[in-house]
Amino acid sequence: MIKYFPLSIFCLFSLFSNAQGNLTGNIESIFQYLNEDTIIDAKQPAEKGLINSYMNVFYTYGNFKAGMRLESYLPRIQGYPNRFDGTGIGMRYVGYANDFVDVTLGSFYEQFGTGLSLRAYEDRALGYDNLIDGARLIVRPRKGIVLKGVYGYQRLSFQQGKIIHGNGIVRGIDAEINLKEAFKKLDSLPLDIVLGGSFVSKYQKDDDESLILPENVATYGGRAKLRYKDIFFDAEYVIKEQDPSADNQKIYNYGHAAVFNLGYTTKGLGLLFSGKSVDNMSFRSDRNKDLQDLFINYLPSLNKTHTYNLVATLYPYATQPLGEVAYQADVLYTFKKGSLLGGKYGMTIGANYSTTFRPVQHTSNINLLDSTRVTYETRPFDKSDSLYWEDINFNITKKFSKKFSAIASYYSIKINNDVAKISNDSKGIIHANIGVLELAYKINSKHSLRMELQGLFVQKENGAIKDKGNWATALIEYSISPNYFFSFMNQYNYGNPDSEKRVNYPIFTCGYIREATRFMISYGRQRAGLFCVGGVCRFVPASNGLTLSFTQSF
Amino acid sequence: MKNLFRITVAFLIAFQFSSCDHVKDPYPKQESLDLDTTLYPGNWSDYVANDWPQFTANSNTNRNVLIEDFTGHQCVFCPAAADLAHALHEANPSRVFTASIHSGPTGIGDFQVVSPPNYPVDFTNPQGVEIGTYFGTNDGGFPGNPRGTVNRYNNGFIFQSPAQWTSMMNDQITQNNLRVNIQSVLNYYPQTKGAFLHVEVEKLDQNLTNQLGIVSYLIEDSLVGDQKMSDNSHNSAYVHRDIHRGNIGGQAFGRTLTSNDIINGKYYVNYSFVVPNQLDGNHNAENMHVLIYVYDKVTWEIYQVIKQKIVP
Repeated sequence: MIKYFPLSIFCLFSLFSNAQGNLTGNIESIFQYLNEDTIIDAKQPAEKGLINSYMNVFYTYGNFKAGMRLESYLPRIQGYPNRFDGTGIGMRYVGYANDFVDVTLGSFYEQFGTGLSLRAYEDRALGYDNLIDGARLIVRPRKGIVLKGVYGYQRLSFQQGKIIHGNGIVRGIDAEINLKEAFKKLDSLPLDIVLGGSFVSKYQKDDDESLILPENVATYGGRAKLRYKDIFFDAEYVIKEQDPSADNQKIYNYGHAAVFNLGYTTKGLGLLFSGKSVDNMSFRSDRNKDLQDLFINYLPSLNKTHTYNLVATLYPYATQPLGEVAYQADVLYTFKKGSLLGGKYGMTIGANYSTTFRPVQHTSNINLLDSTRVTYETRPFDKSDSLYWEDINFNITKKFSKKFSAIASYYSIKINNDVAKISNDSKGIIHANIGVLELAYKINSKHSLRMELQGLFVQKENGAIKDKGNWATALIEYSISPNYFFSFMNQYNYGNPDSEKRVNYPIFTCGYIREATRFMISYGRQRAGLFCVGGVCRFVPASNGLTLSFTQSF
Repeated sequence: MKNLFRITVAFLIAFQFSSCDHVKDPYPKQESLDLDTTLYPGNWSDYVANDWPQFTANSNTNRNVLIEDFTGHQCVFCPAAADLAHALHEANPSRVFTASIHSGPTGIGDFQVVSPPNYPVDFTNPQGVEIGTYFGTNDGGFPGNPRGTVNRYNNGFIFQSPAQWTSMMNDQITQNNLRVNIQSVLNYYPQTKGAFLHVEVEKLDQNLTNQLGIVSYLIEDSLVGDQKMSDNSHNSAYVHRDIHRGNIGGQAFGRTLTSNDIINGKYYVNYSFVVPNQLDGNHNAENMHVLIYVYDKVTWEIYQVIKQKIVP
């Protein structure tokens, strides 16, 4: 029956193509032609050419909805999981939605709260897709109340053009109530309150001869969002019951995850303070998987998402699901136009601090020789002094004239390479200081120029260069609005302790954009490293060659 | 508000069955590796002195084949598959062995269920059902009966339709890639119906890095009983062959060979067990044998299987 499902959707599309309805979607194709480059250890694949292609099609007709994504890996581009191959349907669904119910059968993405208990999502840049294949029901019994139920298997991989599911089944319910919307009596209250709770359970057969494994594992928790005028606060806390897995060495401890955000925003000023506490919260639908496979939940990263090349790609921090206690503070202030520091066009300064520590694992009340396999106790936000990550950064954005503006940034990053492994060339804490100067010049209404100068300086340890030493990056970008852009970037690892590895990584990129169509060509070197989005990372090997990409929306 | 209450209750009821399991003591009760010495009708020291085998060098050079035929007494297409499996054994009597496991992908299904008066005999056993249930939903699964494995070789799928058995068996016989060698000695004592099985396992291919498991199937050679035939008729004189009666030790997937089992580079595993009555209630140890196999704990592939008669 399952194999006829895509065919059924196709038939439905055909059926409704003669009727009125709304058809939207997008296409993306990325082609790489790679060369061998022994200097950076880039390999040429046997096929030489690699291509990933995707097409999403979404159709709605009245209350009916259907959609699918065709995927093609012939073969996959560099850095993608090696089990993606073939051409076929990677996502498909049909459903019906009105104001009261929204039902989906097939593939769907979903998130409960901040995702601590369940988040199914796709991040194509990471090759990450943990969609749920099954059924989802969303009910809105009255305004302000949303109930959700999901049931299904997760997508593990895509082989020979077919979705491969994980071994475990995922079940979850979530309820959320906006008190002011649900109860009119509270309408005059100046405080917005949204409360929610979720329960997610997975089933996987006990496949271990040496242990009695819990086959049904639950995660549950509650959350709240409050807003009072310019102040907002949100928090979520979830508990995971016994979930022995390959990640946690099959211990029988409970796990927990907690996040909170406290913020204040007013014109010209934004303040944010966040905290996160995680212990033993790797929650997958297959207890034997690792890396980024089959995560049911999502543990948000609590550090600023950087965009400049060196700071974003050399030392990114991957969330540690086994345990971390993290805090972040963020300030954004804009000096008014006409003020002493603001000048004619105003000036914005931002400061951000984030830090992550190992949680304390108490063992004083634990008998490691008993048969419970409970190996320690933890408490939320009980941090040790073992540093995993620290990021202190400032930036100043200043517009000097109608044509010229600049952004100056400084970053101090410390990453514990023994825990958040980023490099094979170093141990312990790597401390890097990064400076970036971005200059933008608008030549006229259509032509503009942008330049970045970046330097990354790794602190020496006992006089010795750590990791790969210092880097410099220069980028120049020329845009002809609205159709063309050209850029050239070069990364130079001039401080590498091995003089033979003091390598340049030049890359030239140009693109053409017309309405919803975009072509892009780039040629050059890309260094090996981790590519991270929101604390989720994948390894990308070094490459040298041509990349062509095409995107189209409709 | 009533609707909200009803919907909430419905959600909670729907999920109450999927709550979580709590395990206080994660360690399963261990299979006792101690031999039941009472099954020896005499002083155990005499057994050790006189009957405990001393293995000589294993001169076997052939890799054998185990065909697991997942079957059922009410499965109309199963007799043809059983005939094929038996014919393959007859064609290679010393190298191809069959185990007829009465289980479907969900364990005891419509084909295996006992339904007197026509199908009164329960051919199933807990280990066979566990194996069927496991492979029913894991490692590629299998849709129903008849399906089988040929040395659990993964030819795209571990489970194959009978149409594939002959060619897969021929391939393995021809390749004759012997990576693990097994030899065994079994001492049976009719007075107690007890038996002691001694097995020596030699890993010939040191490139095998995955863990190895060892399983001993107790097989009833043949039994005349009831079977639904391909024309839907009931045959009360059907000869059931090579009936899997269970695993010695009671573990569906046997036990893992560990360094504790190694003496001078070879693994030694010993079992004691009581030879059960036939499914018709009579005791006849001559109608029983053991199939001993060693398999890869990751890929499931069976690297070697041997047949051990209970009464030589």
